[in-house]
Amino acid sequence: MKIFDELSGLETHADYHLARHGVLASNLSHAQTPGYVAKDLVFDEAMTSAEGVLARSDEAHFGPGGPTGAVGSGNPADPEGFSVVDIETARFDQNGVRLEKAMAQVSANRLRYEAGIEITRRRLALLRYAATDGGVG
Amino acid sequence: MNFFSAMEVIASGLGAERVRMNLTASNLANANTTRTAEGGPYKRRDPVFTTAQLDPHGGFDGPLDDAVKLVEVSDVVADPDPPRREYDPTHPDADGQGYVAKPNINLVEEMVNMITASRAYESGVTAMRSVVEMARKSMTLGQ
Repeated sequence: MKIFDELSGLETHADYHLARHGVLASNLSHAQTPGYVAKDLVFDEAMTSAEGVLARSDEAHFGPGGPTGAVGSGNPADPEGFSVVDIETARFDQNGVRLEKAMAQVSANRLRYEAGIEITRRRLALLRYAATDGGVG
Repeated sequence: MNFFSAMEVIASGLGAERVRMNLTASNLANANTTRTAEGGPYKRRDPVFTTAQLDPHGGFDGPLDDAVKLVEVSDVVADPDPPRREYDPTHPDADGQGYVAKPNINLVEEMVNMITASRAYESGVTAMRSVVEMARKSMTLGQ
């Protein structure tokens, strides 16, 4: 068993949310910039590769794409391959940022980051437990 | 339906209430405006809220997300009520009988709208705070 494999996935997760925070924060700073289109960082194929390929043991199982979605394409996508995309079209003021939505995105992103860190913390605690012979070593 | 759907829905509500607050501000500011680009006195503006579909998150949540709706400002309408008529023969916009057509704005109504918008915004902020707290609590499960 490759016990450290999961950690690199968690590292990618943290990297992504850190990078996304920058993009979302820039949306907030541009809330008054005329003609600015809100941006987001997408992370689909990279996540698939970071999580590894989940085997579907039964045709009735759901995948990340919903009941009909695949369980992971298994494409060895570049883990650094996050791309910035435009998420909203400009409205009357020619500015695509909706203040509250942008704020909610920043908080949601932070929560996801914290969740990833928490999982990493627990994973490392488990490794430490094993490495110290159940805490007695 | 997860914590993030709730946050998105609350954010849409906050945005809508902010639009209502802006329109109330515009109504209050223009309570005495007699000249507008479309001609005649300023007319009271009101937002129209409609439900909007939440972006599907896919996965297990897809079908549940259908039940949760965002709110969106679909339109801003002008109040069709007739203008207030005030007697002021010296006013440049006075008609033949000396009456001036003033905007159809009732200050008391606008103040009430402002308070409602502000309370609705506050409740949205409270709801958002509790969702974030719930999500954070969920991370301490089993500790």
